[in-house]
Amino acid sequence: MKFTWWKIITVLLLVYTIVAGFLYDVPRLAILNESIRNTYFHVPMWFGMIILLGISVFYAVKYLKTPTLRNDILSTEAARMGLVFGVLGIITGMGWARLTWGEFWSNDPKQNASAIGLLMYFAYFVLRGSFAEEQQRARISAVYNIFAYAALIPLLFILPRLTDSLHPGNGGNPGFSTYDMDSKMRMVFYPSVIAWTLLGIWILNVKSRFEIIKQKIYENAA
Amino acid sequence: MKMLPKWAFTLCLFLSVLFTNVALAQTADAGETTMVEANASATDIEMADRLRADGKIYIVVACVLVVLAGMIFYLISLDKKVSNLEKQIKS
Repeated sequence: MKFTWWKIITVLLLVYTIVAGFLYDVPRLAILNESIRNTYFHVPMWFGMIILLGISVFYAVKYLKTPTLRNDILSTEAARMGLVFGVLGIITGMGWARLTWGEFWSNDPKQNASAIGLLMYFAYFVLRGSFAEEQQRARISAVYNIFAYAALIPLLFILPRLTDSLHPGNGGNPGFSTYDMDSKMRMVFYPSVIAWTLLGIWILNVKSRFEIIKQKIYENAA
Repeated sequence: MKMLPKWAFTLCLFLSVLFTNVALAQTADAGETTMVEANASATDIEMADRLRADGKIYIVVACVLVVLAGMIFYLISLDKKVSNLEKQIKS
């Protein structure tokens, strides 16, 4: 393995996120209390998911332009990794919501919309699994991928803002930028987003290289 | 890796966003002080102050770091295995 510089940055930023995330000062806010530190662990899951699914769409479009095996594998594996981040995000969000909003699932617009968004991506894998022919599978799932991402953006970022929501940054609530997050928190929050996203990209890198090797072995055996 | 310049670009983009935000946050300090004062009166809000004063939070941080180290080492070993396979396929 080439121990490339971005992998070193990933490890350093993750260590920084955990140490600073637990120990640095945070604003004293009622209800949130120390759970405000979840900002460094729950929120980056969604940022990471959006970035990884963005990578997935990028390679889906690339596949439609130049249909290579590599583009298809990268697109699929990025969607898979994004889905992992999304599931982790929804679980951590439920835990956090139990203590601050009172219930694991309060049918909040943001919660419902993100659940629908994840289901769309589960459907992506169901769709992939239903084709026997490889090129057909890759092409149709690439088209679906673009559709799913285009539907995910309004689900997560527009619709929850149109109604009342408990989630910060939505409905009648002010966003993180207004008071929940001060400049000290930003010093940890942004590195944490980069750290978790890079970790996802690292896993994506290993997994897609593995899949490419697997395909090469199948081709040689056939 | 051929993709390095792309990564370099993305990282620079991220970092620039980070620094601009910090700069913005600093210029917005005047607005924030009122907010801090409003909270300062609420020091009775329950926080894990004693936990950190006792130093016991450090063991939690240490545990999480151990878990993270384990995960990272496993990921590195997987990465190495895949690299070895890539070399075998090429030769």
